[in-house]
Amino acid sequence: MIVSERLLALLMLLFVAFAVSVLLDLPAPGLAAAVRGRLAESGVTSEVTAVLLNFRALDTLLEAVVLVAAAVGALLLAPVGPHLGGGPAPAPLLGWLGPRLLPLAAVLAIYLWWAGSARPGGAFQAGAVLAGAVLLRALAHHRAVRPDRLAVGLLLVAGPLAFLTVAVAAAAGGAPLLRYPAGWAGTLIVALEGGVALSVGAALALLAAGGRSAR
Amino acid sequence: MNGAIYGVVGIVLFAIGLYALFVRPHVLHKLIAGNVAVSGVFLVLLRSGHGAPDPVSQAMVLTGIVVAVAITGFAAALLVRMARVTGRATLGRSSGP
Repeated sequence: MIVSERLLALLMLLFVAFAVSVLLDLPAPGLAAAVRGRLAESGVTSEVTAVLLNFRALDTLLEAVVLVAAAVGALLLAPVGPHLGGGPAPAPLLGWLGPRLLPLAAVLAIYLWWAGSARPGGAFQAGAVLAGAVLLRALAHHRAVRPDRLAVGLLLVAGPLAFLTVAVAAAAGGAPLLRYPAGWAGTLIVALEGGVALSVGAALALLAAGGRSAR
Repeated sequence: MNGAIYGVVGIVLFAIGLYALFVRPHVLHKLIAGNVAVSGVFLVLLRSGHGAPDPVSQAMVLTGIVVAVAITGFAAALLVRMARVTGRATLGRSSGP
């Protein structure tokens, strides 16, 4: 066993040496000029958001679906689990801070959502902040994450549903899948990012919190 | 050239993660090792010749981070289920509890 581990370590060293030597000859990724050239058509001024929500929107649609599928899969594997925050009483600071952080996190998430069209930010960052606040509140024993609630399920699928609606509407109008109607790209991107932010928040919170309480 | 350090560090991280993925029998270790390896891939994607990283690379890495988080959460749920059903959380022959 030890011999094979040493052999593996040697192989890894060889791989690193080979990969570094190849990497130094490779040009850096260079699609920035192509993105900048069509940025005016994308509806947003942030290059990364233009790629995520317009040029490669299909990737983002599938990514949202992957996240929802992972959350649903995790719930199916452990439908009933220990209640998050159901252990001993939380530390005084967490107990006080947990519920009070949610409004602040909501403001931050809305800012991140809105900022995404012009600067770093966007749906995933906003969703991560929301999920963090929801989990802190659950850990502070204030309110559990409830996967059995219909509203939670609707939040979970909000992003993929909104995306699919736009995609199918475009296809029904004869345009390619997910091509935004002229002049509507900016509005639709902000709306889609809002839906995806809610989905990401719900999926991350459910993935972290697990199944519903056994109590 | 100044951006090459990200690529080199990324390759080293990938190799460390892949090594641990093969060697460690505990599934949680494998999960963390896989995440380390994935971080290495992200760093290689984000290397740039000069200035800010390529926006397409940034979008790919952002997508990759979300997918990695989703897979990690699902794999952790699988691990908990495996430990409940089989009573062990390790893979391979030389396994302990």
